[in-house]
Amino acid sequence: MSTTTFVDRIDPFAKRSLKKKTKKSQGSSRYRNSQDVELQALPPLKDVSTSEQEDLFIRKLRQCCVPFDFMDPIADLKGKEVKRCTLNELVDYITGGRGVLTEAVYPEIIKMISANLFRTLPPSENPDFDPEEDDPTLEASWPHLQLVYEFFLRFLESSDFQPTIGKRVIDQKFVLQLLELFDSEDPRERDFLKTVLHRIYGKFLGLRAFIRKQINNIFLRFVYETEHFNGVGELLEILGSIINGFALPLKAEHKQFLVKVLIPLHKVKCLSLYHAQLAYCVVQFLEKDPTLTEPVVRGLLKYWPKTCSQKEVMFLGEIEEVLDVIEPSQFTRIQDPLFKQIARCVSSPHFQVAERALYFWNNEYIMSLMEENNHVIMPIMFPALYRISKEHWNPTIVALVYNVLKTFMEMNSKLFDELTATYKAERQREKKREKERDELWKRLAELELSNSKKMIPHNSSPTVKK
Amino acid sequence: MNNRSKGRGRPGPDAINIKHIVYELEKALNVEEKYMTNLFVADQNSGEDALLARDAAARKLRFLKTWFDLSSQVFLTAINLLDRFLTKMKVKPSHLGCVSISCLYVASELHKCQINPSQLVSISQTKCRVSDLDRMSDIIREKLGLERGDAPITAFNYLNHYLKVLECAAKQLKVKSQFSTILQRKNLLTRLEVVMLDSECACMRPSIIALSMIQSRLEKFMFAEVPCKQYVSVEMYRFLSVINELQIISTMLPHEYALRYGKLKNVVQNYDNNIRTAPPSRLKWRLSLRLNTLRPLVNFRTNLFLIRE
Repeated sequence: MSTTTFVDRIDPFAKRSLKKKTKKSQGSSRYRNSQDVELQALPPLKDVSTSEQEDLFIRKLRQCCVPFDFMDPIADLKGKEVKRCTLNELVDYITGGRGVLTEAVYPEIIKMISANLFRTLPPSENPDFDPEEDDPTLEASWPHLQLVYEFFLRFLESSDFQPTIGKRVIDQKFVLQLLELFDSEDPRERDFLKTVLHRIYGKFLGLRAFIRKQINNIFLRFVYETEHFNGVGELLEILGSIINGFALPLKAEHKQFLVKVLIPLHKVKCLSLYHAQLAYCVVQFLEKDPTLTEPVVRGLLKYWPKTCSQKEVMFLGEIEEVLDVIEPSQFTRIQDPLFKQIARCVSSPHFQVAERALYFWNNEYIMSLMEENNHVIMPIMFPALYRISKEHWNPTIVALVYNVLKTFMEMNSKLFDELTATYKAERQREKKREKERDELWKRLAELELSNSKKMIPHNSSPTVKK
Repeated sequence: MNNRSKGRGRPGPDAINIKHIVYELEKALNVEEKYMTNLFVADQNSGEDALLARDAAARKLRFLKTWFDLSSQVFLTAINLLDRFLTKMKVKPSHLGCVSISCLYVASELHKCQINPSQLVSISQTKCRVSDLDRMSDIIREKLGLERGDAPITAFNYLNHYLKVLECAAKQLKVKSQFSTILQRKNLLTRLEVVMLDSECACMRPSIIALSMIQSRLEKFMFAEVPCKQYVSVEMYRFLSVINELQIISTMLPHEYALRYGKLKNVVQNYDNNIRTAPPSRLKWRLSLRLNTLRPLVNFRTNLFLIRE
């Protein structure tokens, strides 16, 4: 090993450079099937009469319940191909045909779907898996799974689909198993699951409350217990479309969900994985009910990051989204605590945080709100801005502060001048106090010196021993 | 009858003082015309928007004055240099930025304040370099005859002179404490700066501008105080009448003064009442390259349709 490599190993900043780009790993929870079932290709559905189609359809569905081991790439190639072709055929059949979804096929379809989808997800192959850094483990049996999901989706979206029949087979147990799959590391699978669950929520009114409750449980466990679940973003995206459709006035249950579940989701370390979807949900809520602005903003301020600058930048981005939809009357309720936090952010030595906070002044709507309330906001912001203009190390930040202060001056020259004069007077007083303190210490030091000088002749006289 | 009974003894220290102050004032008034400006000429030279551009440049200079912690005197000198330069020379709008910060740079040198030229150029968002600033500063010094390093006489100087006269008068009339309360120098200088941002006001005689500032403050005091107290002391009235005497010393024609005073008072009132008279300036927002995720929803798209409750 070269010296350079050794040094890199102990240098935390070189962590990324040391990581090799690993191949995308393949994982599967399918184990070798000891009872190898040889699939025989059945005749195509289009080649049989209409009366025989239902029966053939069911036989094909049952055929597709057979699992295959994809960890061994050469095992059961024939069987895998038969199943793949059958699944493809089923997808086309269900998409094109009318009258194919008879009552009898519903349980068979769900049985096939359950047999393929519902499995224990394998543990992550990389124990130190970092969702932001590492490539996810993809599902090895995806060639089949993709078709199963495709089929499931076409089934739900079919014009022949009848929820009254479907609800007998798509029940709470089914939904629970589906929700567990959202923890899959494979993003393709989660994307399908997202659409599938969205359709189920849309079609099965009786399951809606249950689905919402289970999602709540997943989020609460994620926030307060594990801080691990791969499907948070997808679930939030579904919730966004649900929130968008909430009736007014909002039910207490929904408001409680916002405050007790969505806001605490901000405190998790891996927020970056689902921040866009979370912000989307929050903004949907505010567009529905503007009076929720105060609890939202106070909640964000409560969970404001103290040690993670990247999270702080995300929070600032979300605050800008919130301010973009805020009503002026709501703005006045949160301006004081919010801008005190923004003042701390612009003073941050981390330039990205300061920069992001200062960029608020480039937003026209936020500027108009600030202008209407400049008598409150300027006194909060001014001391921090003036201090940074003299002290910040980063020239980009100083240039942005220039813009902000100039904007303030144009907004309210008189107040700006008053604040400048007050700040300078305060600084003069501080300097005077510091100078007085220094002088006091000097005098004390001189006093001590003079006292010790007086004492020295007394101490230095030799004691006479008898 | 001896000199004492005739009241003709040696003049007291206040009388000597005020004589000296009035002498300085008259000296300044004698050279007032030399430093006057005529921005309407500049408007004709450079086009319609020249005055608007000048006012925008003046506002920028005022902000730069705060940014670099410069005194009001430096700012007022810079404005005077800018206006005189625009009166004398035809300046392209694209060069106005460089001209204005060069005037500030020259003014700071005249008053012995140091500004880092590269900082001035970079922070002011002017599209020029330090070498351009140096060259333009030399041109300004040459065209305005500043080689000797004498700062121009501006409204700042006249204000100081008038305040000294009024301070003496207040001392004599024993209204010094009221004088200190009503006529606070910082307050007057701020309003003077504001007034100089307006090109129409900037073309007026600086002595008129200075005296108008003082008068407007006194008027404000009278409007506030008199209804409360329902009387004003004789001493105060005598003090206020000193303004008329200063007008006479400064050879201000009453109608000319009244006209100018009205305009100046309007500008000050707009400032006091926070009435915005100019559009916001266009600023450059340069971000660092690493700040690539500005808002979480900017790239967020969903293909999930709305589900009604």
